[in-house]
Amino acid sequence: MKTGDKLILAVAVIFVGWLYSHFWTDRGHADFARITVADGEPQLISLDENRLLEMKGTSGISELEINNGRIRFKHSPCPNQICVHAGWLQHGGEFAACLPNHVAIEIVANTTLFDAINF
Amino acid sequence: MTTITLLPDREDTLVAWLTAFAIMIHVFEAAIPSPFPGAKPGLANVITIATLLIFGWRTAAWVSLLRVLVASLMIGTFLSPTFAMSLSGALASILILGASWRLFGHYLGAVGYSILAALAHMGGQFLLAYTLFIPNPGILRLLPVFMSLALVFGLLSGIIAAAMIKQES
Amino acid sequence: MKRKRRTLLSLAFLLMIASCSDPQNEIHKYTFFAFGTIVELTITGTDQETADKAAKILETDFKRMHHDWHAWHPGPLLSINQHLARGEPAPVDDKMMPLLKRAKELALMSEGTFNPLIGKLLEIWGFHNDEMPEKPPPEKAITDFLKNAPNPADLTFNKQRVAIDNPTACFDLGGFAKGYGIDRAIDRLKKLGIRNAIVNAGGDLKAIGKRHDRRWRIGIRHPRKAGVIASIDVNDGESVFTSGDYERYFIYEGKRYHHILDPRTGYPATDFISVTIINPDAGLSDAAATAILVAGHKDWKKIAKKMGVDTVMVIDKQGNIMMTPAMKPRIHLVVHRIDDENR
Repeated sequence: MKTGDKLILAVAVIFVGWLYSHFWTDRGHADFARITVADGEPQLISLDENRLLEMKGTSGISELEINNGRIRFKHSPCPNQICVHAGWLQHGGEFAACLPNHVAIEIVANTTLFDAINF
Repeated sequence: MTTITLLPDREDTLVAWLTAFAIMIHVFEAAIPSPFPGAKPGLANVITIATLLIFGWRTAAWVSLLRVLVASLMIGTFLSPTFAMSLSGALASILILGASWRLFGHYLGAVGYSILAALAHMGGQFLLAYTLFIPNPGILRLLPVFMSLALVFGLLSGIIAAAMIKQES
Repeated sequence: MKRKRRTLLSLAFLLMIASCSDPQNEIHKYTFFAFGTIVELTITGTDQETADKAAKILETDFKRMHHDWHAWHPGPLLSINQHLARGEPAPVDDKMMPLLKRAKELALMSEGTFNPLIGKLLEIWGFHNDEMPEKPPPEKAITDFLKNAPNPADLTFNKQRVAIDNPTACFDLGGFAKGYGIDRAIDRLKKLGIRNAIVNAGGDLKAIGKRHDRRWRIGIRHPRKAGVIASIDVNDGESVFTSGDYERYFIYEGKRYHHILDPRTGYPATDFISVTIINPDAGLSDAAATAILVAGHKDWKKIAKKMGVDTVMVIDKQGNIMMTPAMKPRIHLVVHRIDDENR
C-alpha cells in the first residue's frame, strides 16, 4: 500500500464515521418544535420530554401536548378546531396553527422534508 | 488501393478479457440477494481499478460502462430501475476516478482508488434511489451502514486488484 | 509547475468540501401573524442581519395590506364598499387602483367563475365574520341576490375613482388579494437584495432562487387529513397556490358548506375539493385557483386555458386526482387517491 492509499483509507474511515454521526443522531423524528405566539419571538421547544404546554394566545389558552417526539394541539379556544384536527406533527417542516388564537407550531429537524407546506 | 486491416493488439484483447471478467462478476453478484434492491458489493470494481492503473482512465471508463450495459442485457434488467442503479453507481465511480486520477495519478495505488470508487459507487446509487425512487429521509439512515460496507468491499477489492496488477506486470 | 497546479486543485477540492458549512447556507425562518393568517418567511443565501431586517419590513407590509384590503374591518376597502353601496363613485388611492383593476381583468377572463364583487353574497352566508356561521341562509336571500348580481364588466375606473351602477356590488378580494400581496412581498425582498426566499402566507406561496443545495421543495397538504399528498420542486419565481373547501367551512346537518361560493348559483362550489396551480404570477394563480374550483368538471380546462394557467391539479369530491399535462412532470404524488370521510 502506498502512503496515498493509507491517507485515502484514513479519510474514508473518518468520512463514514461522520456519516454515522450526521444521520444517526437524529432519531428519525424531529428534535424541536418552533412555537410562535402572537407577536412574540418564536421559541424552540425540545420534543424529547413528554409533557403538556399552555400557550397564552390572543383569545385564550391553547394546550399543546408533546408525546414521544410528536406534538399536537390538544385544546384550543377556537370555534373551528382546525388546529386540533391537524393531529400529531412529527416530521421536519410539518406545521399547524390556531389562527384565531395566534398560536403556530412548526417542526424543526435535521432532515427537513419540505421547505414549506402548501394548503 | 490500400487495405487497412484492423487486428486486435494485445491491449484490445486484454480489455475484452477484462470486460468479460467484470461482466461475469456483475452477473454473479446480481444473483446474490441484497437487502437494498440494486445495491451490491461491487466486486466488479476490481477490474475497473486494475484497468485504470494499467491502461488509464479512458479504458477503465469503457470497461465499466460496457460491463453495466452488457450485464444488464444478460440479466434482463436493461433500462429497469436496477439498471439505473448500476449505471448511476458506475458513472459516479468513473467520475470520481477521473477526478482523482488527474489529481493524484500514481501517488495513489489500487487500494486508494478502489476505496474512492466503492464509496462513489454507493453514493451515486443512494443519490439516485433517494431522489427518484424513495425520497424519504428514512432511507438516509441506511446510508452510513451501506457506506461502511462499501468501504470494506472497496478495501477488499483494492487488495485483490493490487495482487492482480502485480501478476500482470 | 505541474506540482503547483496539483496542489491548487487539491485545495479547491478541500474548499468544495468545506463549503458545506458555509454560513451563507444557513436557512432563516420567520413566522408572524399578519394578513389574517400566518405568514412564514424562509430566507437563505444572506447574513442574519439582512434577513432579520427583511422579515421586519415584510411583517409591516403584510399588516398594512391586511388593513387596507380587508372586506369587513374598517379601512380603505370597506370605505370603497360603503360608497358603492350608496351608489356613489368611490375614491381610490394609487396603491389600491392597480389591485382593483387587475381584479376586474381576472374576473373578465374567468367568465364569471371568479367575481370580486360578491361581498354581499359572502355576507348573506355569514362568511364576512371572524367566526363561522352555524347554518346556510334562507334560499330566498340567495335568489334575491342573484336577480341583481353585480357584474365585474360594469366596473368603470376613471382617474382616482371606481364606480358601478349596482348597489349590491361589494368588493371582496378574498380570492385574489393574497396572491397579489405575495407578489408585492417578493418584489420587496428582491429590492432588499434577497435572492433566495419563500413567502408562504397561510399555505399559498411564492419562491425565488433556491436552497443552497437544491431547488425549494414544498409539500402539498392532504385536503382531508394530516400529512402531505405530494411534493413539488419549485423553480425560481414560481408560486404554488391551492384553493380548497377545507380552509373556511362549517358543517350543517352533515353537509359541508365552504367559503368558495359559485357566483352563478350563490352556493358553495360542489365538484372539487381542491385546486392547485403553479404559475409565476401569484395574483393570477390565486384568482385562477378560485375560478377553477368553481368551474367544476365541465369547465375547468376551458377556464384554465382562458386565464392562461397551464400547470393545474384538481381533486374532485370522489377523491380523483386530475392534472394537466404540464403539471404531471412537476409533481411527485405520495397519495394517488383521496379517501374522503366527510364529503
